[in-house]
Parts: sequence; C-alpha cells; structure tokens
Amino acid sequence: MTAMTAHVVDMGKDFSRYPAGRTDKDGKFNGTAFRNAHLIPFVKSGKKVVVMLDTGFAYGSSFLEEAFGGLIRSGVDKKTATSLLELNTNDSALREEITRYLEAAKPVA
Amino acid sequence: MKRTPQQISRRAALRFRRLQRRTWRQGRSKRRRLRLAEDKSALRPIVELTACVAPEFFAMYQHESHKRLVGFVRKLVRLALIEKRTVEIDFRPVKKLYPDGTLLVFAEIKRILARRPGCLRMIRAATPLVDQTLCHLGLYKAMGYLGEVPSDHDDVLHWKPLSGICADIEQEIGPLIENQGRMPEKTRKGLLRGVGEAIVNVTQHAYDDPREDGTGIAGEAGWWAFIREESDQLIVVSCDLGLGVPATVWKRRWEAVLTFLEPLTRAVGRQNHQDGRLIRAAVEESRSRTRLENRGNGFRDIMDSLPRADEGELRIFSNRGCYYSAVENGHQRHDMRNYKHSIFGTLIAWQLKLQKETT
Repeated sequence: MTAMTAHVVDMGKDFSRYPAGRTDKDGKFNGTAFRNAHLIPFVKSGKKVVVMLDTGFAYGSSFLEEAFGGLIRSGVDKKTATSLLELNTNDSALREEITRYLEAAKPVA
Repeated sequence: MKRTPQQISRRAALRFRRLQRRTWRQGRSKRRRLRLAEDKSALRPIVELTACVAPEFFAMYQHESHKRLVGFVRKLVRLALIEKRTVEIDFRPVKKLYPDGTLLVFAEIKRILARRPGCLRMIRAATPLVDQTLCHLGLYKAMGYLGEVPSDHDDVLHWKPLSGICADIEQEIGPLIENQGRMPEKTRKGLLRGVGEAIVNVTQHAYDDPREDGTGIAGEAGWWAFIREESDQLIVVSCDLGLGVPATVWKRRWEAVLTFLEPLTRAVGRQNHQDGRLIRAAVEESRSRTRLENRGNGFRDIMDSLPRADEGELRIFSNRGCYYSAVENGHQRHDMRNYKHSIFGTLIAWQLKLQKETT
C-alpha cells in the first residue's frame, strides 16, 4: 500500500551522486533545489517520501541541513516531516545526522 | 661666342633646378629612412619590464618559507594590480614546489591575468622538475610562453589542477576522489565531504566583501585546487582569494577588542594578531559570522575528514594564521601558528596516506 502511494527518490539517479551546498550560488545540485523538487511538493500534499540515500556518494552538512532542516523552516511541522519521510540507507551515522537536523531546525516565524 | 644675358640666366635657372631636385631627392631618401626607422620601432613596442624574483621553495608551513613566498606573492600583486606594471617573474631560483605554496602562486597568477591579461612575463625555472611542473600546470602558457617542456615524470604528470566558481563537485572533484582505488571508502567519503564543504564555504562566505589586499577589486569569485597522487599519499589542496576565516568568523567581545587594537600594537612594532586562534575557534567551536544555529558546520566536516583516515595531515591557512591537525596510529594532535604576512584568503591542504599499490 505504501509503495503504491509513496514518492521514491533515488538520490544518485534522480538528483546527483555528488550533491553539495545550500543554494543555487553553490551549484546545480544543492539542498534547496533537492528540497523544492523532491520533498516539499509531496510532503505538503501528505504523501510519503522515501529517500534512497546510498546511491549518493558523500553528503556535506550544508546540503543535508538545507534539504531536511530547511523543510521545517519552510513550514512543514516536525511531526509531519518525521512521519512522512523515510530515509533508506545502511549508514546509521547519516540517518542520525539528518534526524538531528530535522529536530534542531526551527520554523521561521 | 658670347652668351646673351638671357642665355646665362636660363642656364643658371636650370642648374639651380637640378641642384634643388638633387637636394629634394637626398631629403626624400633621408625622410624615407627616418620613416622606416619609425615604423620599425612602432612594430616593436617598448615594454618596461619589472622583475619579480620567485623564492627557492614554494612552501608555506615553515615561518621562513611562508615569509619569503607570501612576500613574493604580495610584491607580484602590488606591481601588477596596484602599480599596473608589466612584470617579469623570474622562476630561475625555484628549487622545489610544494602543493600548498604552488597553489597560492597559481591562484594569484590566474587572478592577476584575469584582471590584466598579458601583464605577466616569465623566465623559465632552472631546475628541470620545477620547469616541467610549471609548464604542465599551464602557468608558462598563461604568461605567453608558447613552447613545450615535455615530461614523462610521475612527479610532474600527477599534478591535476582544478578550478571553479560554484561548488559543483559533480564535474571533476567528486569522480576523482571516488575513483581513488588505494583509499578505503570511508576515507574517500570523508575527504569528499570535507573538500565539498571547503568549496561551499568559498561560495557562501569568502567573497561577501572586497579582499583587503589593497587592490580595491570588488565582485570577485572562484576557487582553485590541486589533486596530486604520490606513491604513498594523496594530496588535495583547495584555496580561495577571499576575506579569510579570521575576517568572517564571529568574534567574542575580547577578541573583537584585540582585533580593533591590532593596528596600534603593530605601529609600536609588536605582532599580536589572533588569526591562528580565530581559525581554531571556527574549526573547534563551529563559529560562523551569521551566528545562526544551523550554520557553521562546514569546518566540522573538514576536520572530520581526517579521523576517517588511518594516517594524514590537515592544514588550514587563512590570512596570517594556520591550524594544523595530524592523525597517526589513531592519535590526533593539533597546533596553530601565526605568521607575519597575510595570504588574503584561505588555503586548505589534506595529505592522506594511500594503501600500497598491488602489482
């Protein structure tokens, strides 16, 4: 049932194997571009998003913070974000880091 | 027969005209000679060259080599961009190139030539390996030398120069580091994460204000990097010519006071700048000028790239300071240094051990 309704993002295939940076100033494959293309439209419409992270080679903190922490700053509440986001990775440190950014981010007043 | 006065005057007039024609002809050839000489000098423009002699070692960590190299770079920038002279760089004394010092010279030359094309000339290095490497890096060509300096030496061919404006690591750096077969995957991932964040720092902060090097040039951008694979280690160096960490890090009140008073202490002959300490603050305390909680993690990524390696070194040079960290047999040690001259920018050098090649 989940597989039918979830939006699956393969980082390496659908975005970039080497994502980096926060904004367009940093290059094409930045955190804001990823958030706006693959997270916000689906999460805001209540759809589950599965992010396949292992097809990306390495993630800098600025990309991860902007993509996932930025989700909270752009008006998605933490509960909705954590329930609708599924992080698919074998790297537990990477999952923990993203969870930390989701928890630490504050909504913009 | 006696000539009539009319005949005499006619002959005199003819003689006078002949003389006049000869004089004019002589004058014409003289004028032509002069004109030709003028043309020749017009073809050969007179360029007054100002010499700038490069130091023996392009290295930055030791105080003496830092002083000599940065002194040379500052003189080059002053002559070419402030005094607007045509400078002839004399590479003859250079004996050894280290990646950090060489990248600084490379970046400054590229920046100067982007602002004033054709204002730099060069005299080739006397040491063959140095000569071949400078040519391989494209510096000779950039300064108008059209010849080739062929080399099949690994020490020369393994230098890979890269540059860019934004942090698009997809193009070259990403695949180059990922495909480095003699390094464990966790080390490669850590290194790419660190290098990527170093470049993001450049695009996010380094050029927010004009560089304080006296040139008054605003609106600059860009980073430069070298990747060099040696038999036992991989060296990655990246640099920007921006504001530098000490200028962009958020300062505590006492640090701000010391920075404010620094020109006064310098005037009385004392050097007590805080650059080394401020780099350490940015690295260890993740301090950012924005003071936003979600910012300032870039240096943590850069530092984390080192413990993921079994053995290696990391050096962060910024303005007049340097932060050094090394890992050996699981032990990590740190150090910081303050120098006399500023590089007016940030240069980060990773040196990581490679596994032995299997034959």
